[in-house]
Amino acid sequence: MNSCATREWTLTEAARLLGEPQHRLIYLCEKGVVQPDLEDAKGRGSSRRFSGHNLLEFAIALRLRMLEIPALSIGAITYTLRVFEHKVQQQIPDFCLPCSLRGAGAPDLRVILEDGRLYLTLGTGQNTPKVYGGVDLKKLGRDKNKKSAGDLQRALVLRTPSGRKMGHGANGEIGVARVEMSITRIAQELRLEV
Amino acid sequence: MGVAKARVASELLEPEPTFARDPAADAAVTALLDHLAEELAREYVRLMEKAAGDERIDGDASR
Repeated sequence: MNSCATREWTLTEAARLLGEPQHRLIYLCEKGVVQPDLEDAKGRGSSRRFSGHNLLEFAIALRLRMLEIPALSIGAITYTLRVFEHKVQQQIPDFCLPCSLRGAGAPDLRVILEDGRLYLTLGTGQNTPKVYGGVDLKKLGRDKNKKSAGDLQRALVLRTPSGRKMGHGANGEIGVARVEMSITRIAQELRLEV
Repeated sequence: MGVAKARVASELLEPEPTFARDPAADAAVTALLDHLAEELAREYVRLMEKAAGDERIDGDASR
């Protein structure tokens, strides 16, 4: 089993490791962007304890918050990565985030937010990365009506993201922004040994 | 209002990602994210299997 799968960090340790004040991490927990894997705070006296996966989620979320990406959108990314980890583990039981992305030759997993849509790309050095997604995050928290299977399929049409000018839409939305970051690089830069 | 105060105020007004706490709340988007994660996982496994296959071929060739 990977070492980060068995380790845990307190809020104080996580804040020190990430170089961020504790209140920023607490905010991300309270918004549901990061859900402590080991113990959640449920009243006085309880404490949050975080896994290596949580630390990766914090690192991703903090970078995206710096770009003023809404917590809602960041939550969609952390949720997707959690499902991704679970699905890969069904085939490769040793797989875990961030450890499996930290090794030399690990595929480059990237997240792209463009025009309010979420894409993830995966590729290795030699090949052009494949693009997945195109999920419209602007609908999050707004559209309470159920979608038909056809609507879901139409919304899942793959689109290759093109270069766009940076900028933010009204109400803090990510309407016209294009943000791209490497999850693999963030995983590799995490100083889990500290 | 200072930048820090404005940031805190805007953060407090932000809606929570309800699908993370309660997947049923945004079932449509959750279904899309699940599908995205599944496709990505399939590609990851394929890449790992390909890398393992390439290593085996390299190993056989060097013998």
